[in-house]
Amino acid sequence: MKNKILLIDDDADFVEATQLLLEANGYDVCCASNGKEGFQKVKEESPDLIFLDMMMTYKTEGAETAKAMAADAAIKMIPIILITGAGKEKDFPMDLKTSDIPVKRILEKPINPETLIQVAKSYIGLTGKERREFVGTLDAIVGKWKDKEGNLIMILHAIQKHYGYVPRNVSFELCRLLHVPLARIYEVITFYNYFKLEPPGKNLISMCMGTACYLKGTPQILDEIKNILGIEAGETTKDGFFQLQNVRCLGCCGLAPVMMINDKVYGKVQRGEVMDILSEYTK
Amino acid sequence: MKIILIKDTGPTEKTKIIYDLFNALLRDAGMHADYQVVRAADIGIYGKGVVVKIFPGDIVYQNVQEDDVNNIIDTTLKQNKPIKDLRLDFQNKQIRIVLRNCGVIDPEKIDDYIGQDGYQGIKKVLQKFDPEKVIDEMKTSGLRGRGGGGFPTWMKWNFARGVEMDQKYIICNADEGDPGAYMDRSVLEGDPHSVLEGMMIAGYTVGASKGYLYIRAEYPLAIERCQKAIDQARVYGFLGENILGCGFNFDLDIRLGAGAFVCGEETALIASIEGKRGCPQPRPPYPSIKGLWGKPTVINNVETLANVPVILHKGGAWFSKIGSETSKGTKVFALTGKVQNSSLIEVPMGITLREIVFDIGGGVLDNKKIKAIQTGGPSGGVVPEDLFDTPVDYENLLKLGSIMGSGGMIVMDEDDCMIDISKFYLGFCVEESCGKCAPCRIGGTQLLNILTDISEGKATMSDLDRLTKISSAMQKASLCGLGQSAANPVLSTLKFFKKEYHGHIVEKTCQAGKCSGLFKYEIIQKKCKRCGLCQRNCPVGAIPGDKDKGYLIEQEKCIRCGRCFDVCKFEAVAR
Repeated sequence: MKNKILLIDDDADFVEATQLLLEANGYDVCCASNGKEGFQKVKEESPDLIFLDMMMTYKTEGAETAKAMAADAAIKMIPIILITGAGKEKDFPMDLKTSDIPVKRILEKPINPETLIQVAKSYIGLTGKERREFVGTLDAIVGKWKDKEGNLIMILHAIQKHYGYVPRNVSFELCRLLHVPLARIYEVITFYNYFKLEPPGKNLISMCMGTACYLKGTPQILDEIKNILGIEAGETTKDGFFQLQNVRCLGCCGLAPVMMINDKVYGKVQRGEVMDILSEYTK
Repeated sequence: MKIILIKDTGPTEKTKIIYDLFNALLRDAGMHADYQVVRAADIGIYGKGVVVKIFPGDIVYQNVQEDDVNNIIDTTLKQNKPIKDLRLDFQNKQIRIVLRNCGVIDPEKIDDYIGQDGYQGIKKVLQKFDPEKVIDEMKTSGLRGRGGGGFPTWMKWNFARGVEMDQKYIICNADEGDPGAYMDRSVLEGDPHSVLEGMMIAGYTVGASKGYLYIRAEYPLAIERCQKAIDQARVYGFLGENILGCGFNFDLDIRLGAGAFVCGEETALIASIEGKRGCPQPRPPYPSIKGLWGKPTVINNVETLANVPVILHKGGAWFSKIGSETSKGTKVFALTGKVQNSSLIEVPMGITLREIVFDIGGGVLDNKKIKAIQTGGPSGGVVPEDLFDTPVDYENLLKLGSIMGSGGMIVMDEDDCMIDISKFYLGFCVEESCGKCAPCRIGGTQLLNILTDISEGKATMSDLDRLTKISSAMQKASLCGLGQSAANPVLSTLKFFKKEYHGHIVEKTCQAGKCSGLFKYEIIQKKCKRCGLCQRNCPVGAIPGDKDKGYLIEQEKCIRCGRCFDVCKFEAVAR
């Protein structure tokens, strides 16, 4: 069965091009040209992912629609990606805070086709050939551990190592392969901090919350990062560029306060340096 | 090629002079091709003048003057003799047993380990000792669990040995989760074979044929090195069947933690290895009787296990000579915080805190006044400066309301607020509580609420009684060590720093300037040079004024972020 994506946009050209692109990558696509129609389509088609345009009949229609969808218990689990060309326009409703819109990501037009497919993939499962590959990968992981006692955590580690997180469809597949209920898998995933249910951001910022770092000022540095990026610990920026997390201890107390971006460790960080460090990664 | 490392650790900044002198004199002596002179950015030693380290070797010179350079080249480099007067006896208070091989051998080569008497302990045990004798030897040594509790290791082993069962297990607890402690990581990364050997000896003694290393997933290098060590040990016949031809079978596997602090607790760790949520179980039955998959299981900490091979190789009597009356051997501490020389140290039990902080740690950073030292991480407590002459061992720390713990040791100075510290540790425990039992889940949150009130100046004196009451309920009624000890930081700060609590509650001031809301930033006009840096850096525009009139902080607007305090070059912003 193919995964379904709903496209809500009033720009007919964009819809046509995007539909072709998504279909060529093995997705079923349905379309709507305004928020109201989109809302109806969601109920009828129950898609796996929604691409939603920000400005349609009025400027904030996308945001309003997203809010309405998030308030509806039946459809609120469906991930929404907001797309907008408004960043370039002067009359963008700037008082609207992006953090208040209940969407997973915000993509700015023009959207690179690769980015679009990548985003689609990260929020829904895979199709066709990739699905076969994915089952193959999972079979290999499970095969290695199947006969060992207490294997679930080790299998989840292997899955997270492969995908960067534990995708929902993988968990479904896993409960079939291991003959355990999904709840059993999810109770373990949610108990342990290490396992992630959301795809990671492009750059992972880890703030050391060890005691030495805490005493030497990580809270202030954390505040600075939060101010700059507009996200809380554990969140990813809407453009998917940065993910911020607190970690217990990076084990380099001599360099306190320490932060790590991806694999690079920054020691003796001062508040004033944060902006410079972050901007290295936005280039 | 030998390396000469130079750094002026005093106020004179003579690094460059000595560096040039070394280069010139080495060239004169025609030795410059054999030596590389390097100016170090940080050499790990402070306040000892110009420090010169010569690699390889263990020679460190302090207070080196221009005149000494020639002498060093003549005596040390040419004749290979140390110069007594200049020598810095940096490690004289430290004894390395657990860390004996760290940094000395290549941890990825089993031959290096064997070359340092490695696998001699297991050889001796398998060929000459019966399990009974091993227990005796361990009893003589007096080794106690280094994970924090200090339970005698031989007793744990003896319990498991006493149970008749087809299968028993040895588990190495390497789920080091205390913030600020990294000794287990260092041992696993620096000397994994010693832990393996310790597990084998434990396996032989209790009659277990299978072991698990439970390592934090956050330590990828440790995992990689342990896996390599296991593979090599299998190839060399130290793991597998019929080890050393003595009919003993033992094998090891690695299991990964997944970021849950509570999994350091024995029963939770077992649940995690079984692939479940890491929730603790009531004890008894203890794991030694009924553990992993219902079989007798011995769980030892990394540091404990790293001690075992040496004890068996050199004898329990040798080991028991080191340390204090009740606590034998050494302990590795991660000395961090506001101390000059942050490092991993290994000291004999019974050494005083003062020796650790001042003789080994080099004293406090920036000449601030030392306030206290925190031991035992989130389960431990603080020891104030006037009790620094207490010898460090399990009993003494317990008497002071702290614990040995896994060995984090954090130095705090006058800028650290004790309420803030308690809040930090308690916040950690609340987040890490598994939520299974009510005293820990609810009690922790309530304590944290009260502490937050105190830090915001909203509390009353009666809240202090509530703190004590809830704490003692948690100590008595929680299911596992996490909940039982979560209130320790609160109780010990309350015991030694009641004044600070009073200050927050009654006078509504935070002397250390940590609790925003209980202090304010002000510009001292006398010191202010009117550079305007504070104004430009204020994120909320709370500093009006200009170069002529001077600057002022508007308290209603100020969010107490401290940026003006940080940026002022003239210390004109006061807290």
